[in-house]
Amino acid sequence: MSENLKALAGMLLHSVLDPELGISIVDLGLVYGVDFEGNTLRVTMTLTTPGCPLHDTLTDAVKRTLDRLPGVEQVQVDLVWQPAWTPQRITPEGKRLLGWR
Amino acid sequence: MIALATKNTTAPYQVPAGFVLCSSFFLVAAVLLLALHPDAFSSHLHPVTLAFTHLLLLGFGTGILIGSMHQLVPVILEIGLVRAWWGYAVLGFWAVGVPVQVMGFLQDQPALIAAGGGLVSAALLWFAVHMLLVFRSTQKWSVVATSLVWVTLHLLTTPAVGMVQALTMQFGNYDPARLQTHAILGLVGVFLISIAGVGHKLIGMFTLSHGVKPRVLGINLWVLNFAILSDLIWPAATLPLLMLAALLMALDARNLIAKRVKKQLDVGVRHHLLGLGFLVFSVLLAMLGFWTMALVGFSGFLLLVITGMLYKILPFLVWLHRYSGQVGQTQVPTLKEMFQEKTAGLAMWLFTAGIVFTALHPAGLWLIAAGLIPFLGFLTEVMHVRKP
Repeated sequence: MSENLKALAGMLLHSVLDPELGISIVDLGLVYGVDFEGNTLRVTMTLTTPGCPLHDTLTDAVKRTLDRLPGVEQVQVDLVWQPAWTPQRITPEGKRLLGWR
Repeated sequence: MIALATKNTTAPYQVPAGFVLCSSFFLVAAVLLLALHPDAFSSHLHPVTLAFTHLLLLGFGTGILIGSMHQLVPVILEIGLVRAWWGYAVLGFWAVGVPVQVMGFLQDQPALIAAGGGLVSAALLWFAVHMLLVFRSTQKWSVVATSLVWVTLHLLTTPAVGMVQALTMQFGNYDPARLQTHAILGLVGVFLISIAGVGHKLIGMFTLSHGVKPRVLGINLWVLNFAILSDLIWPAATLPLLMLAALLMALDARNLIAKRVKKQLDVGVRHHLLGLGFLVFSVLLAMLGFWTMALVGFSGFLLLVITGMLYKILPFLVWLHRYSGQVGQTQVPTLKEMFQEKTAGLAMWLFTAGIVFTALHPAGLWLIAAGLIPFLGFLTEVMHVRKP
C-alpha cells in the first residue's frame, strides 16, 4: 500500500465530524495512527472521555468512510485509552474552530 | 496502548423521547393552570397550587430526569441497561399516574390522589430497581454515579412520604409536618442532588472541560444530604446548608467552565448558569423569610436548568436515532444545526423575565407562558422527521 493511500485515508477522516463540536476527529486529535497490514487498514483512535455516547457512532463512521478506498478489503478500528486524550492534541485548525485565541 | 471493547446499551429512543414529550406537556399544563388561577398563590395547600407543584416537579422535572437517566446512566457507568424495555413500563405508569393525581388535587378527591400517586410510585419503584441493578453491576464507580444512587433512593423516599400523606388524608392520622419532609426530600434529595451530579457530568461534556476533579461535587453530596437530615433533627441548619450547597454548585460550574476546551458557551450552558443564579437568590430569599418569592425563584432555577439541559440532550438523542448510521456515507447535520439557537435564547429571556415578574406579581406567569412558545418551537424543530 502506498503512502499516497495513507495520506488519502487521513484526508477522508477529516470528513468525520464530532456532531457536538462540529469539528473533525482529526482536528480534535482523536486519531493516533493509520496503518496498513496487507489489505487491512488499521485506524488507532481514542475519544475525549471514556464512556462517550458516540463510541459506536464514530468508530462505525470511520469504517464507512474508509471502506471506499481502493485496495482496502477491511477497516479495523482500535479504540484505545492509553495514551489518554488531552486538549494539547487538538490541531491549530481545531483550536481555531473551538474559539481559542 | 490499552484497547477498549465496550458497547453502551441505552434505552430505546422512544423511552427518553416519550418522557420529554409528556414532560413538556405537563410543563405547559402547569404554567397555564397557575396563570389562569392566580388566587392559588394565597396558600400552598390550595388545590391548584398542589396540582401545579406536582405537574411541575413530578411531571416535568421528574419526567425529564428519569427519561434522561435511561440515556445517561449507561454513559456515566460505562455499562448497558439491564432491561432496556422496562423504560416503556416506567413511562406508561408515570404518564398515566401524574394526570390522575393532578385531577385528584383539583377535584379534592383523596382516592384519586392516592390512585395516581400509586401509579407514579409503581413507576418510580420499577425505575429504581432497574437503576440499582445497573449500579450493582458496574465496575466504573464515580462521584457522579454516587449522586445518581442518592437520587434513585430519594425517588423512592419522596413518593413514599407523599403516599403516606394521601392515605392519612383519607383514613386519618394526617400530619401537616410530613408535607415539609415530602417537599425537602423531593426538592433537595431528587432535584438538587441530580442537578449537582448530572450537571457536573453534562457541563463537562458540553464544554469539553478537561482536568476538573469532582472534589467539589463530592463535598456537596455530603452537604445536600446533611441538609435533608437537618430538616428532620435541626431545622435551623437547613437553609444555611442549602446556601452552601447552592454556592458549591456554582463553584463546580465555574471550575468546569474555567477548564473548558470549547470556548463559546452555548445556549444550554447559559441556561444552566442563569438557573444557578436563581437558585442562590431563591435560598437567600428563603433565609430572609420571603417564602413565595423563594419558591418562584426555585421553580425558575428548575425551569432554566432543565430546559437548558434539554437543548443539549434532545438534539443528541434525535441525532443518534436518526443520523448516527449515516455518518461517513452522507452529510448529516451537527447538533447545532438541528435547531435555531436564537429560538432557545428567546425562550431563556422570556422565562427569566417571567420568573422575576412572577416573584412580584402572578401576572408574570404569562411571560413564562410566552416563553413556552419558542421552547415548544425548539421541540418541534428538533423532533420532526426530515431527510438529511
